[in-house]
Amino acid sequence: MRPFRRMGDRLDAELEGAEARLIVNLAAQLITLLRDRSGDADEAHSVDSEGLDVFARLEQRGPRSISVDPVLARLLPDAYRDDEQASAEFRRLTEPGLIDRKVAQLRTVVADLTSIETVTEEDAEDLPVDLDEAGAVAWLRAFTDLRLALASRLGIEPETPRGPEEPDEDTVGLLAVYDWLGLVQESLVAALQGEPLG
Amino acid sequence: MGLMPSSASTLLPAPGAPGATGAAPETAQQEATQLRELPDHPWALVVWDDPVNLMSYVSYVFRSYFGFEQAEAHRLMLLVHEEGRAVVATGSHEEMERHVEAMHDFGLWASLQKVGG
Repeated sequence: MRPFRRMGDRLDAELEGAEARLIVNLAAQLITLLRDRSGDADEAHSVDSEGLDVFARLEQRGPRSISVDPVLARLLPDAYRDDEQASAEFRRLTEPGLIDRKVAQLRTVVADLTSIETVTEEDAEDLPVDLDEAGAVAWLRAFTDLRLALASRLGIEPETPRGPEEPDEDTVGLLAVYDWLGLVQESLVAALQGEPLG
Repeated sequence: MGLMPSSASTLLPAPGAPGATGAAPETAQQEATQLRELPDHPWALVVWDDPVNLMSYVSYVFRSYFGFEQAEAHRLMLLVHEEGRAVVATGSHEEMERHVEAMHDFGLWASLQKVGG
């Protein structure tokens, strides 16, 4: 991966094929989770079954109360911390739109990477990512949601900012993915604000 | 939109912190309920710290959404990070609800509540 940099009004980076596929896979899983929440089953279970299904564990049984699913609870938090009724009403009015926008951002990333892969020569080592400002903002928000979802899956909390004390092998791998997404995002934030990479 | 230039940290002192509630030991919830019942007081947008969002990203959100100068965005970001939360804006109920929704779009952890006098 070559991090994002600003080139005039464009933001560009290079991703390896495996990195791009990882992002697409994670984004597709999060889209499924969000779509399930909003009751739209169109895209449910569309995730490549061979991909690592990191969010599957969180699809819990029973009614889909926001409180039983840590990923959704973090992505769609209560607006009132001390007023359940006001939170429920706010959620009723705003959650469908919030989910739609989050899904649209993730789809932008998937579509960008898919189209890049299509036009890139097969033997090319790196995929050139080239975004305009609007695209970069969508990527930035989508990466935030992916990192929030992964963090929730990894048990990254204020008291445990690095996750579990004795992580198993899967967790170590996911932590690496989480950190890597953070690096990509850091470069994108800097590039968007026109700052040279330090 | 009433932005809080410098007194943000004292608007919402932590429960039990000096000056938080006076003498009576009250829970945060009791305190918040009382605040909400006071008429004619503005609402506050509170952004809460989380261990996931990059400091640079939180600053970027404060700059790009609220239009803060870089120094102010940075100061508020640090306040969130170090105090665990910060009031980033105050104003009408509707305004603060819009801000909360926007913060959730950005993936920031935000809520709104009534401000005490």
